[in-house]
This record gives sequence, structure tokens and C-alpha cells, in this order.
Amino acid sequence: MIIIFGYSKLAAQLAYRLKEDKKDFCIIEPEQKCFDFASNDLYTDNIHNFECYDDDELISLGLKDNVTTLFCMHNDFNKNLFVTLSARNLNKNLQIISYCNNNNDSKKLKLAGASTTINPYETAGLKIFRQIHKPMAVKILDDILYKNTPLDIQEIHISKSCSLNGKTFDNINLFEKHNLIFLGIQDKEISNKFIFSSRGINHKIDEDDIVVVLGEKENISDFKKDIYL
Amino acid sequence: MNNITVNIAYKIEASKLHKSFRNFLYNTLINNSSKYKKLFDLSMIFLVISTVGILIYEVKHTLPAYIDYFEYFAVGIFILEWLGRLTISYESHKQIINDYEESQFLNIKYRLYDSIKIITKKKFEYIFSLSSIIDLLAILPSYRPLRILRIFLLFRLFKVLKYSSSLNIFTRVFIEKKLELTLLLLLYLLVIFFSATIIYIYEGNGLNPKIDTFIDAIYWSFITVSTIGYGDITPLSDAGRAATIILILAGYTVIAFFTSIVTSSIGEKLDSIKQSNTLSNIKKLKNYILVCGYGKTAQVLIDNLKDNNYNFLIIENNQSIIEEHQSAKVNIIKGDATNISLLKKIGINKNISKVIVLTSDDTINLSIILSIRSLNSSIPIICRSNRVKIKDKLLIAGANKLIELNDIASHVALGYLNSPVAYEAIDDILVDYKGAIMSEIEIFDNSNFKNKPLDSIEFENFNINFIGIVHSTNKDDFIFNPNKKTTIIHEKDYLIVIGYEKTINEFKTYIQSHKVES
Repeated sequence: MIIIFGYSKLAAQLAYRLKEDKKDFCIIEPEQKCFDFASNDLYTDNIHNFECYDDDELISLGLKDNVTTLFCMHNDFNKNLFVTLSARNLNKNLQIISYCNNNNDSKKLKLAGASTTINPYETAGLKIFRQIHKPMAVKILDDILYKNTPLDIQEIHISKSCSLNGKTFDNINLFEKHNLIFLGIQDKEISNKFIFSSRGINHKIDEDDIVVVLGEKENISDFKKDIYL
Repeated sequence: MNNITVNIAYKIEASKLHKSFRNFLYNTLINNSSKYKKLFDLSMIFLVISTVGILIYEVKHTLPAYIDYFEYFAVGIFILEWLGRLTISYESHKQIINDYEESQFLNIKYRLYDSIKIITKKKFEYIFSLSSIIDLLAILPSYRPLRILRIFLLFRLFKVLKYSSSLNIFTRVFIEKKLELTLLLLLYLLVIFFSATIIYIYEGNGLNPKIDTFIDAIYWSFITVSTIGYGDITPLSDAGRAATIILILAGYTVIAFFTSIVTSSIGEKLDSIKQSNTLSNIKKLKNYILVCGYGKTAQVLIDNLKDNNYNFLIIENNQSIIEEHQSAKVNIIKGDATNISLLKKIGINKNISKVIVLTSDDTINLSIILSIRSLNSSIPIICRSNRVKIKDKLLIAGANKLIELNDIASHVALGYLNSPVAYEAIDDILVDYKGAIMSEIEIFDNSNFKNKPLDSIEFENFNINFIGIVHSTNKDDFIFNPNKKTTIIHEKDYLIVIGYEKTINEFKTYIQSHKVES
């Protein structure tokens, strides 16, 4: 279950996309006017007119156990900050993605417990810059990420039973076999930072690591079957 | 005779030597953005000041003979400069060619005399222009028989003005405030005349031996009103002293008015001076990116452009935003980007490689796009669109790509929702400074890998990920992880790789150093 707090324009777009992806989500909107907008748009029946000053309101939506992701998309930064902090207090493992419009607010949100912050102005500015700087690379990645191409980037969580568990990069010829490109790994032991395979370090893959591969969707699912035999 | 001249004209037109000579003249004498011109101007200023300095020194001292040679040298340079300017002022051979071709086209007999008439007229126009006269005045007094006119050597100082553009600003101030300054001058003259008359009436009758003629009275009045007050003529009567008091008060007032008119006018000019400075800087840049509107999105874009040494110019309408950023070493001008004449001025047809339209108002964005398209139909325009419903209209107006803030942000939000690790990794790839980068490597015409299969490239020797190839024949089609044995590399293809800056540079050098020896 996903919660969107605040029905801003960005939230409306997000709700539209979530509905397209057939994701299960609900919307919380404290103000009556926006609440009415949200009800009119009908992306979901699950809309609540909560102030969110009271933790019980969040708990009643299952924030402690049922909810995986919370989007704080309210236009009022202080409200976002407040809800981010409350939610982090209630659930340590929750993914919280919060809206902000400048870097200082982003820092505050991260302190309050946001996993990621989204600044539309920043993303748009960067996007335009990349468009100028590396048009081809941007197009390829955009196609992979957003368009319905056979290509995909996926992350694979390594569990105990996975055949990659305990192996080093050089030892794996499975990627080639499935015509996949192994981009890199996020190693829980070392840091939460992503390590690219092109770094040239021969790394050992352990349990709980996340491996990121690039390739055709079909090949990726074959690959997954292969490593979890 | 006609034929010979026309032939010579064509030979000159075709001559490389002539072209480079003209370019050299243009760059040293005319082109403000050339470094040669700066050097040339500085040396000319030195020559002028040193020769005038010699003139002053000469009054009380006898000079060694070699100083004369220095004077000859300076005059020689002045003459060369003048001849150079005369040469470049009009292209005679082109006139001959044009006239000749026109007569051929109209099938009439070509008359050299007509061309020469036009050329002579044009050249004389230059000779009698202000700039040429100043130059000539600096040269002629050195001619021995004209030595009597030595005082005209001081006119050389005017040459210094010619080399300094900032003095133009003062001239402009005076021209623009002509009415106010004329009124003030009249007031000034009136006050002088008024007091001179008073003192002449009361003291000119023999009371004051120093005021003999009306000219004496005027002189006294002028010296007093200007607050200089030598004291060589002083009023002796009570009436004369009263006139002095009035005169001094009036003098202060006039000076105060004069100062305030000039300073306020310069203050008003300051913005446009800065603007014209930015504009003239911009004219020197090639391939710059035009950003219309300086908001939060533009800020991120500009920070990145700056870090990567792109040339750019911002047009912003809001004065307070401009003031905020003026010190940050960005080229920013105040103006309305929908204004076609402003767009022309910044050279939308010449120097701009891309336009980014980023105001938060869709109607303004639309108007900007149409203004640009009316001047240039091919320049790529990236535009911010703020409402979904307006998208189509912006595309109809001529935007090549639209940037929708909420659309992009919601995509990013979903990206983080679905695969946070992969998403962050990709984000890192696209932002250069955070480690791994994705790079496009072009295969040049002279590459050794041209027309060979992909496996001729030793990818395995480099710590990079080869992602795929974009063929020059179809740039929209990206081939992911192609078969290295069967895929042939063509010229202008792009190899797409992911890696770290260092390894990618090594790989790039490897690719580019394998070229066919010619």
C-alpha cells in the first residue's frame, strides 16, 4: 500500500501514473478544497480528509505495518516536514519520498527521515542540462526507463539461496550467457553507495546485496530463474 | 585597359594573400573583440603620449638626435595606420567586379570610369570623416614646412579618445541631456552677464581702477561665479559686494545642478552600460545557449552549464532577480525575450546554438517561441510547459522539446518507488561529477576501426561497460549490446559506454589514436 500526502499538481500526476500501473494507493488531503479536487479526479476512492497532526490517523491507514511507501507531496513544506517526521517515528523501514523546492528544505527533510527528496525544479533543470550535454545518453536511458522498450534496468536482491551469493564479479559468466550488462552492486556491508562494475574492483557478492543489471526484460527474467534454481 | 583592370580585380578577389592581409587589417584596426586590436590600441596610446611628452620636454631642453628618429617612427606608424584604415574603408576591387558583372548581365559595355568614380567618392568620404581628420591632424604637423603648426600635435591626444570606448558613454550622456545642460548654460551666462553689468555700472566709472572695460567685469564675474576667485579684481563698493554675494550663491547652485544632472544621467546609463557590455561580450562568444527566464529550474541548469564551461546568456525581465545574480559572473541582460528586436540584437541567427525557454507563464513561453521562430526556423528550442493542456500549442508554435516539471518529477518519484537503487545509479550516471558516467564516443572518418566488426575493439582491456551502438544512418535507433562479431562499425557511429571518467578517457584515447595514416 502507498500513501500520498497532499493533493498538489505533482501528486495528481503521480496518482494518475500509479493508477496506470495498477498500484494500490490512498490520498490524504488536509484541506477541503483540494480534497474536493482529489475526489473529482477519482484516481482512487481511497481519499481521506486528515490533518495528520494526530499519529492515530496515520496508524489507522496501516502506516506501521501495511504501508511500504509514503509520498509527501503537499505544497506546504512545513506540513511535509511534519508528516515525514511523524511517519519515520512510526515506521523505521518505510520508504518516504518527499517534495521540496530547494536544497535547504531537502536537507531538513532528510534529517526528518525522508529516504529521498524530489525537487521538480532541480530535476527539470538537470534534465535540460543533460539534454544539452549528452543528448544520446539521455535518450537511451529515458527510453529504457520510461518508454515501453524491451530494455529494462532491474535490481535483483541477493538472498541466501541465490547462486550468485559468495561469488566474485570475475567468476560470473551468467551475465554474458543471458546477454545482460552487469552495471554494479549496492553492498550493505561496505556502504549504501552504489558501486559500478566498471570501477574495476573484483567484488564479492553477499547476501542482502542488490545487483543492478541492464538488458532485455525477457533475458532478465530468465537470468533470475537461473540464479534462483 | 578595362580588361586588365577587371582581371586584376578578379585576381585580388581570388588571392589568399590579399584575404589574409585584409583579415589582419580588420583584426588590428576594427574588430573590437580581437586581441591584436587591443595590443595595437595600447601601443598607439603609448606612441601618442610619448610624442606629446617629447613636445613638452622640448620647450626647455635640447633633445638628442635619436629622439627625432623616434618621432619619425611614430609618424610612420600613424601614416601606416591611416593608410590601412583607408584601404579597409572600402573594397575597390569588389566594386569593379560587381559593376563588371552587372554590365555583363545587362549586356551593356563596361565602363571602368564609372567604377573609379564610385571608388574615389567612397574613399574621399572616408578621408573627410571625423576619424580620418583626427588621424591626419596627428600626422601633418610633423611635415617640416608645416612645423609652425606644431601646436596641432596636441590633436594627437584626440587619437587616444578614439582608442577608448568608455569615453563614448560620457559623450552620450551629454547628448542625451542636451536640453537640461543648454538651459543650465543659459542660466550660467545670464548670471555672469547680470553681475558683470552690476559691477560695471557701479565700479566701472573709475571707482575701481581694475575694472576698466566691460570685458574686465565679465572676467571678474566668471572667476567669481566659478568659485575660483583669484582676487586680482575685488569689488570696492557695497553694491559690488552685494552682487558678489548673489553671484557666489548662484554659482554654487549652478554647479550643484550641473553635477546632479550629469551624475544622475550616468546612473541611469549604468544599467544600459552593463547591458551593452554584456552584449558586446556575448558577440564574441560562439555557440552559446540562450536561457529565457531565470527561475529555480534555470538556476540548476545554469550551475551545471557553468561547471561544464558552456557559454550562455540569460534574458530576464525582473530587475531584482538580475541584481541578485549580476555579481555571480553570469551573462545576464534585462529584457523581454518576446521582443523580436532584442532577439535580433543578441544574434539569434548567428551565435546561438540552442534556446531554453523557462518562464513560469505558458503564454509568455508561447510568445517567446513564436518570436524566435519568426527569426530562425531551425534553431532547437527546449521549452518548459506548465499545464498539460497547453502542450500541443507550444509544439505547434515551434518548440522542439517540452519539459514538464510535474511530469518529470512524477516519473522520478515512480522510479524511486519501483527500483530505488537502480534509479539512483542512473541518476549518478547522468550527473557527471558523481563517479561513473555514460559517454558517447564518436568514430571519426579517419578511424582505423571504420568498416571493421565491433570485436576489433579490445573492450576487455578497459574497465568500461559497453552498452550499445548508435549508427549514423539512424540516430534514433539504439542497438543494445549488439553481436560483436557481426556488427560493423561505420564512420560517425557512436559507441555508448558506462565507466569512470579516467577509464572512459583512456578508452577514448585508444579509439581515437587508432587512425588511418594519411
